Amino acid sequence: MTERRARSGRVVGIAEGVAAAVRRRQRDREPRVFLFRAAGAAHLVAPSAPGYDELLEVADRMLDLAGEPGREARPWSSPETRLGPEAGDELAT
Amino acid sequence: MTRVSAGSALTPQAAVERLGDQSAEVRAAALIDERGNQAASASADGADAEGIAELASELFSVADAAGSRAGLAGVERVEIARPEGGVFGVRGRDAAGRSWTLVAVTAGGALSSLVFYDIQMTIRALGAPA
Repeated sequence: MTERRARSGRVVGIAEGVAAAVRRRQRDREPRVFLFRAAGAAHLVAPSAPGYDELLEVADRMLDLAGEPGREARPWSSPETRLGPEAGDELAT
Repeated sequence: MTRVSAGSALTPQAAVERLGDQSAEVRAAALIDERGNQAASASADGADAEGIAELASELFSVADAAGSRAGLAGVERVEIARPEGGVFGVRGRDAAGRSWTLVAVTAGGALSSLVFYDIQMTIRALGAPA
């Protein structure tokens, strides 16, 4: 009887460990969206909050344009220079 | 790891290229000037820097709207992190007082504090004396 209880306790422990691992994995895979004010205070945008989906959509489009994550990220290239006279010429040193 | 330092003035294009060269996590970057115009962009080979630059302004428009609905006026930084990559945006002023928006797309797992530091140093370097 005692042995059976001990065994079921181990099974419950293993199940809880697996469930915790699944929760951690899901949490790690959830996108995190933060907005920061001038003072530096971070505001975590909850998935249910207004604007969350829109921010994620823009970010996903940017990530798509950035290419494959595992891709060799060098060398850098500048397909075109967009420096107008008001920007680049003023700042050129 | 080499980090960006604010030592000398840079052109907008040189600034985004240096950010990419010196920050291993950054795969693409785009710089918007205070009038909302695309000042420069650069990227790792194969990435669409121009497309990312077009979305950089939209990112802050959406962030401003989301911030105001959450009672946050004046969003200065945005971070959106996914396992496969992140998007970081900073609004800041260079040493000459000009306002810039710099958005970087990074690989997954990038440390946000380091990415923000590099972006802020890049913006500051735009207006530093030569």
